[in-house]
Amino acid sequence: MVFPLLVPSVALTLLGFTLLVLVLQLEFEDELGGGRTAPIQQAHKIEPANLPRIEIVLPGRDGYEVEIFGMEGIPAPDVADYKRSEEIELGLPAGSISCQQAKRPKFDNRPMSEDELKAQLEAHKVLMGLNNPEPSASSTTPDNSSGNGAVYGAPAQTYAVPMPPPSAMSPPPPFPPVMSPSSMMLGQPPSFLPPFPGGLPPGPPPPGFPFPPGFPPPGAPGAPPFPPPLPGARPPFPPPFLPPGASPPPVFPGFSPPPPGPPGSAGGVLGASPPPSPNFVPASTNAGQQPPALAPSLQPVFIRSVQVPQGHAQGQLKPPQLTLPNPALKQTLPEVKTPTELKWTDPNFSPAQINGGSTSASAVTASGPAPDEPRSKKRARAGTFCRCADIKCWKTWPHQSVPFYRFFLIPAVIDQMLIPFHVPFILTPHKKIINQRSRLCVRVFSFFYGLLLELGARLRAKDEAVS
Amino acid sequence: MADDHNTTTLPSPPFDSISSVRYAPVHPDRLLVASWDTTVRYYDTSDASPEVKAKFDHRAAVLACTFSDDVRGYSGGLDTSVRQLDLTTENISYLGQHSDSISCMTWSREQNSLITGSWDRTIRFWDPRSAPNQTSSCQTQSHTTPERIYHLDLINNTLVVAMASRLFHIYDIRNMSSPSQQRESSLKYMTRSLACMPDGQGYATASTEGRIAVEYFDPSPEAQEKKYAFKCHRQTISDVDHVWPVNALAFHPKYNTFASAGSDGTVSIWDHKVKKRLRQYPKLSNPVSSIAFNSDGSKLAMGVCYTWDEGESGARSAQQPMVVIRKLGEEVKPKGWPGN
Repeated sequence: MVFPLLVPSVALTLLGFTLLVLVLQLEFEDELGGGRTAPIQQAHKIEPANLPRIEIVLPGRDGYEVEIFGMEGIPAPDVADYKRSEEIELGLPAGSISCQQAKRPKFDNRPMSEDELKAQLEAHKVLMGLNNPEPSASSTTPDNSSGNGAVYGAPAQTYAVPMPPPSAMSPPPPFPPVMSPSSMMLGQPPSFLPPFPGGLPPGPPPPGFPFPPGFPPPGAPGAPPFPPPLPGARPPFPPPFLPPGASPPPVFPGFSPPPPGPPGSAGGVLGASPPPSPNFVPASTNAGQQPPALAPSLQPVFIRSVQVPQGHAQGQLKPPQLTLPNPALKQTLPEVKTPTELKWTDPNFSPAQINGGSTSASAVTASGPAPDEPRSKKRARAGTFCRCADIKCWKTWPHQSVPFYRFFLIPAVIDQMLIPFHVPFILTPHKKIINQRSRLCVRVFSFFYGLLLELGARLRAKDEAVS
Repeated sequence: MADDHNTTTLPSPPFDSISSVRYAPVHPDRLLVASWDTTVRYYDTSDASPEVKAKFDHRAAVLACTFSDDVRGYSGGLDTSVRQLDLTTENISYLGQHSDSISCMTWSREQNSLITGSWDRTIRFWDPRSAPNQTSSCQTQSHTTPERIYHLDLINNTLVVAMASRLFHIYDIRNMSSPSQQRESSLKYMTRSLACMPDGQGYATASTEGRIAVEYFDPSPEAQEKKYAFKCHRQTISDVDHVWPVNALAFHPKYNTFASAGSDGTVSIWDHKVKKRLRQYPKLSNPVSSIAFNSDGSKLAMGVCYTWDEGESGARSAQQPMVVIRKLGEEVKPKGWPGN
């Protein structure tokens, strides 16, 4: 009987003691405030009152205000700085860590209503720059009647944005021509760009757009998924989202969906003609059958998803062919008397401009970070895939009287996958390892370092074998 | 190379063609290298431990860079924006934007401002102190020129702007409303490089057709009579003249001699007063795209890389770019220079 009584009493005592400690701690905290106060007082035996500013610390950290617990309480500017430095270190585009991208909006797989279809068609036309009422488009599309112009079910890979007809240029095409991802991988410019006299540039390939322009860009805010189905939704055709080249067919009264052709033939129409003729126009732009205006509820969504890239693209839209700004000043090569081989023969453009003029289509107007910048702009080099051979030395623990150094192997980027890999060990200023633990760390460090180098070499070999 | 002990190759060079090399105005061993691989690298070029001290990533190829003092640099290129590079903290701050690629820039100590030239046919002045925040542009002046600006150089208050179509404008930067002189190049081919004399008397310019012209600012007929041009960076191979562009010119800060660098891979030192070549350095493996003397004139930095004179076919056979530092001796001094 004694034993079962003892347990609760012991437990009570313990609880009481814990409470007492808690209360004491609370009082302690109340008295002293948070942050550095406790270590200053307890470890260094200095009264905070006698030490208004802590010495030998990072700039801005000499007060007692900052109280960091775990990952919480770090001052926001420091967090931002850290993220920025991470980005620079890893060679990521600005904003990829610091501005976390919004999640891709979810799309539900359901039939579209009549209104949605119309709205999407309208948005698509705006996107294609064909929304002007002139019926010029219909005359230039011989394919209209056969219904082959826009192919339903064409795989997104074979999609290429057609160049708008010259007569319908009023809104500029919002995107540089998109090429198929396969050619993007190879770093080749799209085949329908005219070749340059000076040869192709060393620069990165022109930007491919990783998602069809009809979609709201993954990072674009305010592009909600479709509203809930309206009454009178259509039968399950066409699928809610199509690549814009395969625009939904116009909605006629009494229109019945044509049977989708075999995928091979559908892909063949676009795939067989990679350079679409300039008057290639989606079949859905029959001026006589202009659908009514956008459903008001849908309008803002589409307008935004259309206009954002347009504004963004204004700076990048450069004529692919270099033009003289002032043709009156055009230069010609003077005659030479003796047989001469000139190494540079263009009298009007420098090699930099010929290279730059063609690459600057891909050079973004960098007024700020563009988180949705496609990664393919970075040139694919082995170095991009494995940048591990960097050891950073950071001076840490500034409040210690003897400066300690800590070495890190910075995170290696292997095939765009982050491998966080920090091996801290401690060295004295004379770079002499001071304890057993550090010695072990060094061994582990060099082991993993070797592994990583090996991996990098293999990746590089693979990279070269592929190219 | 014959005298290899006088040259050092800097470690970790850019991966792509080098567009510009610039030495710091005071420190003799601090070098900025702008490259088409979208970076600006900041080197320590001392003999003991040459190393990359910092690397600044950009969003497109960088065509121009310059120092203002030993701790701040500036860059511009195909992404059309002007950036300030803090060389100690490695921070990049955005100053403003041109409407086309920035081809050249220089720092004016008199006005404490950055001067940039662009293919958008404007010269713009920037005061980096006026807006350290990212919201507003630091641009103070903008002036339109008739043609795309390819090069500019500044000596004291005289700004020389070399444009496409062989045009030259000479400005007094205290009054930028109109050029003080407008000239056409005395060379028949496209202007490829430009450098002002450190004594402020004139400038040297070179064309894509292996030829250098020395011109003087003074518009009086006596001074203009002294101007001349000469051929260089050529070679006769089986009765055919091979003529390479002269990619870069740089004046020695003390001796008023100048160096020229060509796509033939050679660098020559010239004394323009006596119209003599003082030295031709051994041929390098690649064309020389850009050169710069350091502040005390003891070193010459050379960006050695393919310069796209022969298009893509040349790029395939070109070698890796490198930055070569040459220690200079007596050869850069004019004959009979007073003192040692």
